[in-house]
Amino acid sequence: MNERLLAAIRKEILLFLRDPKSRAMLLMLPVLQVIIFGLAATLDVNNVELAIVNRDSGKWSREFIHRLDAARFVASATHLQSSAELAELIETRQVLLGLVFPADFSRDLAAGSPASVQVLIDGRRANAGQVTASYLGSIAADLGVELDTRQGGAQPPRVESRNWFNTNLNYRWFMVPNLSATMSMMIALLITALSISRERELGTFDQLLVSPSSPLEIILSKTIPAVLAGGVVGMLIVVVAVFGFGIPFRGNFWLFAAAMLPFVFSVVGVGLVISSLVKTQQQAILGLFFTLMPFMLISGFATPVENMPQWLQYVAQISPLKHFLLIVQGSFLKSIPPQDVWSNTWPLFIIAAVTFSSATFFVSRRLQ
Amino acid sequence: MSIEIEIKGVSKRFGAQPALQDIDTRILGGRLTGLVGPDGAGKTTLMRLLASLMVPDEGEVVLCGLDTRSDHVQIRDITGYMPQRFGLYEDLTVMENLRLYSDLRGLDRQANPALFDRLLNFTGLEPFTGRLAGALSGGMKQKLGLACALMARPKVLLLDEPSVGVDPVSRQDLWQMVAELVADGMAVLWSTAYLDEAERCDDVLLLNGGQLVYQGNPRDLTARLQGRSYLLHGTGERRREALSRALQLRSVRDGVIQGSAVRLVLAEGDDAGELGSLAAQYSATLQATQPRFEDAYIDLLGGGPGGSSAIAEKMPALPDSGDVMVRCVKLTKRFGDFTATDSISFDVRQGEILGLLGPNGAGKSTTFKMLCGLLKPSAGSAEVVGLDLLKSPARAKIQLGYMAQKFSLYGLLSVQQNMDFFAGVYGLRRAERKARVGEMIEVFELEDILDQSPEEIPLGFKQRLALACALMHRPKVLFLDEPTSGVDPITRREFWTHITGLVGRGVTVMVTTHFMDEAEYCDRVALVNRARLIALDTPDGLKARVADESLPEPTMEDAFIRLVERQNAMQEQAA
Amino acid sequence: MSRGAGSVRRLLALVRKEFYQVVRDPAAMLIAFVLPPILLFLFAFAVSLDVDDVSVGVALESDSGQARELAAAFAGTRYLRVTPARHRAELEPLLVSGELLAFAVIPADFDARLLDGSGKAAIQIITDASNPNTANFTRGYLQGAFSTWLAGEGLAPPPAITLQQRFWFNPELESKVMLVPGSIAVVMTMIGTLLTALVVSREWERGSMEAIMSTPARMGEIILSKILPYFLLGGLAVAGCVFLAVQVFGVPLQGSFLAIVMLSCVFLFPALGQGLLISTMAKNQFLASQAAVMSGFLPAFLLSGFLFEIQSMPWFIQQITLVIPARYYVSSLQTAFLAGDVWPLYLSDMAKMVVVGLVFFGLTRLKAKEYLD
Repeated sequence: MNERLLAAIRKEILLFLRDPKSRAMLLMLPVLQVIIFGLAATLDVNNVELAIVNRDSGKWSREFIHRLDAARFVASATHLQSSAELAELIETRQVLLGLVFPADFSRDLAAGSPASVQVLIDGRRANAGQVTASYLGSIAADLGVELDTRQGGAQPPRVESRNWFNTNLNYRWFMVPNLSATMSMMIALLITALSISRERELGTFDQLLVSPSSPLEIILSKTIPAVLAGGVVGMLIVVVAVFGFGIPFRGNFWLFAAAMLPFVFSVVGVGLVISSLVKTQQQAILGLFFTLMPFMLISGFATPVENMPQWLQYVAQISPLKHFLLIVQGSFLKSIPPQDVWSNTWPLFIIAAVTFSSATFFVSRRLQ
Repeated sequence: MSIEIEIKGVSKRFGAQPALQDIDTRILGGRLTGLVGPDGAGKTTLMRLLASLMVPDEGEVVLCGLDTRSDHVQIRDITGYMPQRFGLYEDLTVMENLRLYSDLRGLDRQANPALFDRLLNFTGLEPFTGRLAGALSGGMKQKLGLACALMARPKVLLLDEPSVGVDPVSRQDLWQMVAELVADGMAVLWSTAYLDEAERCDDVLLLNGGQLVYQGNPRDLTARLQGRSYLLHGTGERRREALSRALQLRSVRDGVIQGSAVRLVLAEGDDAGELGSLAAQYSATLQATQPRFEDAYIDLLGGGPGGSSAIAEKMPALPDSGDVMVRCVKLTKRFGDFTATDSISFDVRQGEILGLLGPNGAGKSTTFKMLCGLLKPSAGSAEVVGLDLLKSPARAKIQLGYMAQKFSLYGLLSVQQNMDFFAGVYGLRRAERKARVGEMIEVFELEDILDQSPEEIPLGFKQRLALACALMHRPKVLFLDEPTSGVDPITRREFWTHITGLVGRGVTVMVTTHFMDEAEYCDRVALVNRARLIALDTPDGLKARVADESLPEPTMEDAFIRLVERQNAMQEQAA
Repeated sequence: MSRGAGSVRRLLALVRKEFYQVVRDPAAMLIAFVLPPILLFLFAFAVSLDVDDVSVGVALESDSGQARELAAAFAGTRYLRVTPARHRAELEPLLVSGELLAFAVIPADFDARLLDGSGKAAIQIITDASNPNTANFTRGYLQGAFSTWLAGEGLAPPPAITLQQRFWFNPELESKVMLVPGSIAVVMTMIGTLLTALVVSREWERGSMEAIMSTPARMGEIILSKILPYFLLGGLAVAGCVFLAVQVFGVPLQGSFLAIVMLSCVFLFPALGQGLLISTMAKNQFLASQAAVMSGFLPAFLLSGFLFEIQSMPWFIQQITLVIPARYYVSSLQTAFLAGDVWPLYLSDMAKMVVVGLVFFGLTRLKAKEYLD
């Protein structure tokens, strides 16, 4: 490699490591993200507050409530006298849902006829409501089966269900590995998008331009450190996920690492395009913001791509994150085979080629 | 004359660092008071104390009987303050800025039209009332800043370096405006790095290291130098060498190039004997001359730096070929409909210093940027060392060194790392890089500050470092873009010692500047106005062009102003 | 002129200045008028918790008629897109590659298991639990389809206890209906916190703060003048968001527009306070924008309860959410859109926002002095 390029790369790395702001960013971002995404951003449901109106005085409603109190997902169950009170608690968001046992609940069951419980759920929290309702459903079903067997009935056929890859349905096992992709994307984008605008603001960019460095060398000197930083941060999160959170890594690590390279390159290309279009650091941050957010939201980071309308799923194909997330999830939990890694990697090469050639075009245009 | 400002025993510290120590002085109404001193002397801190933006740690500041500690609300009614960089709202138009300040000052709205007319007329901004302040040139921003500060006819006007980065024509306009205000009885404090401005003030306050080292009439200070200033005429091409040798004499306190002559100041109590023999060696004539304020200022602050440049001595002398090193032919740059540079042509020969001068926005920066390859010309060509910057950029660029405004160093890298980077980016291999950087450390005495950031080191060292970085690859041509903007005279002298030394070794220099005393160092000056090259001549030649009976001995500044005004008048007549 | 009148006039002049700056600042316009439609769009379409068209596999390992009928029943179920197979081994790689979210196995001895009567498992459901939330929903769909089939064939007695579920306020269970109101809170946080933080720090950077402080304008007036234009801008942005939400994205508006306006005004109080506090501490735009994104945007996005349940978070993070004004705003906004006006809830949320706002403004006033140092 030539001397000029080496000097520029060395400078870029030193700049980043010596800047207290960048260092803080490097430290703060991963810590914050691991805390927020690893611990807080969960679609698991627990600590549910619910209310009960029990008009029945028999043993079956008591049995139902007893099981409810013992359930892990319930934080507290408030006992109420009337449906009106229940309505108010739901309206003012003090409880997620309420159960109303009719007066003849136990009598009906004792008589061998089906009984029903009314479940009123706050639709403003539809996701938590649905999950909780399914938990309640299994309590009701279990109780119903016991009742039937006690009364001498045959047991109905059941369903055996298995959760592959993540037996305990731990949401963190989904979120934390994703961070290795989003974090390396954020860092790589931030570094590239900010580095040119910072030099431009300080006037040192002119110094680079009057030096014999060619536009390609300048672009490479901005690219290589960002790719390195993105890769290092991504790998760091992998280490934290495996050793800190105890999440299994079942796939082929080297394949995963190899696929990360085109991913980070394609992201850096995007960062270069941003930095060639803006003048100040402030604009660069806004530009980043407007690219990062949509990228993350359409890529299946928080919610699956399959849930989106079909046309938006086509749009999601242009996001490098979308493809790499599949590799991440596959490599951590699923031991994804090489051909599946490849089928998600070649799109990354295409995206990287496109972003890079446009970045080279935009940056060289700015150089004139 | 009333006493408008009293400063009694004022000290101010930032952390443990004293910024001002025990300042006692008075500033009078109806007089223009200049505030001068080297960088970091405490000028801006004093300004802010007077504007009641800060309170002193000890002592008190009293404006028109009001104490800045207790009465800052009333004080802000009677003071006008223009901070550095003018403090304008760049996304408001000229008129909107004026209205804002009028309302903030609680002025009678009925009287606004008349007041604005007067201010706009006064500042010459009438044609631009609808323009955004951010789109104004430096000179116009300065005038608008002044108009805003003047809005409420303050009793005290505080101007913090209003003339940094502003061309001589605009500076003259500003000066005349302020002189009118002073005549009306206003107290004006004007902080400046231009000593020719300070010389024309009624009083000066000279700060050094947070202490007031002189206060009073600048002429009284200048008078102390009576009989110590000399001009050495007739050294011709060898004037730079003569200056360098003169400065090494024990009896010489300070010296600069002044056109074709060398200006020298003797140390106190020394006679001109040594100088006489030097003059004889060059068969030149030594002539006593009137001292200037600048001579006295440098003397008071301990004299100028020595005359030899260690870096120049290390540079291998380039054979004197007399080749054209920089050539531009019909160089033109258009931005949309606007022509920034209109077919400018000139040559710079080896070992020459060419100064590129012109009013703000006249096109000199654009020309300069095309010459060093930062901008692509719309038409015409630019060559460095015979190489076209467009056709073989890398080979051309390796020949040139570049020093940007404000030095443009990497604040986050240490001094050592900055030098390593610039050596590397010019392709020096490991061993060579080590040797060169070591050499720079030695000649610029950077040993003790290698691990510090360029932002923490004194301005003088920062300037040395910037020069070291630009010279790392031993360029044949040096491009200097306002290298000394906002820098105090002593630091600038050291800088020019290096530049003249390098030219002595055959290096070619292109420089832009707003300091007319720096233009005097140039062999030739290219004056650019309204995108055209209007004059290309030696400094003395330019002065001669404007000399007449009313002004038999014009200064460089006079020449600049007159030539620019002459062309403007001609163009307006033609139109 | 009296001091009071002078103060009002200075304030008006500063407000006018601020207004011009906002209108001419592309960043402000971008955040106020381009960001809202983008965000609303993303939350209406991209972020969806509704699992509509689920790709599942059915491995039909039995040749019996009942097994075939069950497989046909799966294939005919709404929401499910079925990939049929003869053996589970064919489906496993598809689960690994992510093409299927789950598959059901109808085993070779299906008929025997069905009639066993001792509660043996008749079929097996295997989910891709790498995304647990999706796995839960998919399993629910498959189980539901199986139960429906059983009941239809008379193979299982009707369940003894049935739950009559009613989802109030959002009977269709569309996630966009609750996400779109929540994203309005994110937009308003950006306007209130990020924009204000940027404008004030820009004044420090350009030195205009120094110039303005040397005039008779008081610090209180300067601070107030920063707030009023952003109130207006926030109001406009909210009106635009509500229009988009209702007219374009089809979110019902059960409550009153007035309530939304009131809530938004109250919310802007702490949001602006936070922005001002950031800008008085970080005097350059770079730091200010970072701080605003870290302390404003991210919490509003992730910790306000519109995407993730606050009650499911660890205890200490729940405590942090207490000082995030967006939390209260989201709660009331979702109510205003979906449930209709519930004033007791509004009042309690507004009171909490005011308290948080008072804290921010109090801190700002302490930090911003009449002097530079």
